[in-house]
Amino acid sequence: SDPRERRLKAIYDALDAGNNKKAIQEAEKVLRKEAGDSLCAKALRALALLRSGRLDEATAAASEVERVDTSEESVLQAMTYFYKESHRLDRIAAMYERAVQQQPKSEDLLTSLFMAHVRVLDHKKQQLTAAKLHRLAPSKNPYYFWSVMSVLMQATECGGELASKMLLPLAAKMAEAFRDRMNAEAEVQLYLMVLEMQERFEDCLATLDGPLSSLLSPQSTEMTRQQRMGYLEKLGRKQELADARWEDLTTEPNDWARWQSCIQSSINADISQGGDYVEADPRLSELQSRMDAIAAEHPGLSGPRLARLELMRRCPVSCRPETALSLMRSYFEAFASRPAVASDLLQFRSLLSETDENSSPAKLLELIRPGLPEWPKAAADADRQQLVRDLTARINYEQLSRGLLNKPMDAEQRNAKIAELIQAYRANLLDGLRPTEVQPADDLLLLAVSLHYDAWLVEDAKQSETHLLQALYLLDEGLSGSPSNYNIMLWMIRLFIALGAWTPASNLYERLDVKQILLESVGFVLSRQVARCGLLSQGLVMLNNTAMFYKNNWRDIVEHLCTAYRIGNFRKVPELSP
Amino acid sequence: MVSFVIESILRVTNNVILYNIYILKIYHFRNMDPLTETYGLSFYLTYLVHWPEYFKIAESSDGRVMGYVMGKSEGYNEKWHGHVTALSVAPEFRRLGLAGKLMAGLEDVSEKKRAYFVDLFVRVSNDVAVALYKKLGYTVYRRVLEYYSGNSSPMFEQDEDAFDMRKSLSRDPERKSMIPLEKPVRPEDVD
Repeated sequence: SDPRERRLKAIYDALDAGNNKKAIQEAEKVLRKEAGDSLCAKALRALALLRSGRLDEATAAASEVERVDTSEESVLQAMTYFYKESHRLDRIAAMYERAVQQQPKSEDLLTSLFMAHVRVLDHKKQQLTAAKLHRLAPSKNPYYFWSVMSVLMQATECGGELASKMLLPLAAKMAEAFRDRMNAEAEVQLYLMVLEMQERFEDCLATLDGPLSSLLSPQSTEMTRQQRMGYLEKLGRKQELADARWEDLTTEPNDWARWQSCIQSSINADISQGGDYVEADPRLSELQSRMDAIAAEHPGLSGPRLARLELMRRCPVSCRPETALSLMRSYFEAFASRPAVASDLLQFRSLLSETDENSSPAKLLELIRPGLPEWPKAAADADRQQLVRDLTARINYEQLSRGLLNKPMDAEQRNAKIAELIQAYRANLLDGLRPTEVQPADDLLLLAVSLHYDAWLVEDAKQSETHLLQALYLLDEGLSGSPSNYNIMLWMIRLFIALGAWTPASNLYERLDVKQILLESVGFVLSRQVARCGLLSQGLVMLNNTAMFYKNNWRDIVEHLCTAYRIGNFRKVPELSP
Repeated sequence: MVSFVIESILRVTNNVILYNIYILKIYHFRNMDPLTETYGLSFYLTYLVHWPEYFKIAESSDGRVMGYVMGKSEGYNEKWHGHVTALSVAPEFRRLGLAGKLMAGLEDVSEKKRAYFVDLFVRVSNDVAVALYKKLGYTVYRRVLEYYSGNSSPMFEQDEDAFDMRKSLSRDPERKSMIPLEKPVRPEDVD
């Protein structure tokens, strides 16, 4: 059998190396020597033919293998690859059904059969197969819980009375019957999943507090804490929930999601008194004091201070624009030299007044302006950190200004602003940066480009190209100073397309190295423009490339669904299933 | 101002699953920093299914992704350790201490799992990252020759060495796992 092993290994090696032609040759060698008896060689040949693109021959070769019922592991594995790659996941199950008939007591085969059903989301057959596995090996918990999970997935799929009156109670009964034998966190989580679907949230809490909680691992405490709060919310236990959330906040006082939850909870929990918070409401001032106390305790944190604005947003009747302005001003003054301050504040712009001058966006800017540092200038001996801080403060101001003021500028104002920004940009380019680092002043350039773009959008056709070209010259300058700044590259793609210039846009796109998931999130910048630019064959190549990503996705996801069952991460199963 | 998303939700489009929220978030993040690799979907899904406790994303108050960390735990006996697979902070959100925050989260999970140390690989030329990790208490344990293969992206055409940096956790009070090796190793020698 040794030479036989060697010949088979040659086929495997060729396939692994991607050398399909060689794999076919080696397989045919084996078949000639063994007079067509080697089912494994036949299967591998079919696979190699498929990978070579010789589909008709591959299908014919595969049918030859299918004609023989076998439980030979190597054949089954090779055919599994074949079916996966030819997108015929259903045939894997059929193949393993036949194999199991030959060896009904093989745990390995039954497990493969189970996974085959998982791939095609056949939950009923999953349940039956898992039950067989359990009968074979009753001491192995996973098989039992695969059954429970399969019932749960059937309930998810069909919903309605069948789920609530039959399937879910069945799953619950099965889990409860095994309660004393549970020995893994995954099993407890699965039980919780069933209870959640049955909306038995009291029982969920009891489980988290009961003896089964000893199976929950230390690294899951954060997750279970969130689950507990979720149950309290479902049970409408508003005060307890509010208390839990505020306690949670104290461990991470800068966590925005926690702030949002706390504020919402406080608003909801005041059920005894009801009504909206109006300005003079003592409950409101109590809430504000509580928040201010946390802010005072952590002066360097922006979260607690931004939260005051969030409270106003959620309680419009409590909002006086002057207060909002004052809070926004002190927020800016405290944190201006940190990134993203402008975007932090811009989400609250509606709290300011459009009618009253004293609490208008313009007023806010007017009050902030004097406190700004002067435009910095990069010099050889300059303190680089201080420079970046000053630059950030000025950039925040410019971005805030642009975001707050709705009025379009007239041409003279705009040109002056553009000149100011570009001058500051050029004066603050830093030496000695790596090609992978971006210049801190780049945002100034992008603001200037935005202004040109605004102009292009409103002015007539004759003026228009000028603005686009001006913008592109600036961006080109920016790109040589920051070869990795993808924002610059994205802008350039957009503007080149506006000019109808596909080639430079396409070259920049190549430079971005868009692949995998980025085809979804970034690919559209070019793929959507294909028809407009009339370059249909190039466009087709690009779109085919993207389509392959989506097509192959399902194959990848389905394998991870199998992994989720195998390692017992049951929470992920419904998440990965459609 | 920073929030950590640890729950995941499902998003389905046209009956084809594209991703759950973690990857959705990475997609929003655009993951285009030249020093951050974009892997295949399978890679992210593997981490999501095997080590969800290590997968954390930081979001700004206005819902933008600021950065993320992905890791795992592996090894036996005294080599049981946490590993940082990917850490990335968007350029517009740097200087906020976010990298340190994400790393602290990963170390915390590793402590809870009773790991002896945390380790990571970083390009020897990435002095910004190396300095950051040193500031967070990591030291260079060994150099791995040609760990990063060339042609992985337009920016990196040559092979490059990596530093394997480590930080001991409370289970290794004598910091044995951080004692540096004298000679560099090859990728095959890394277990």
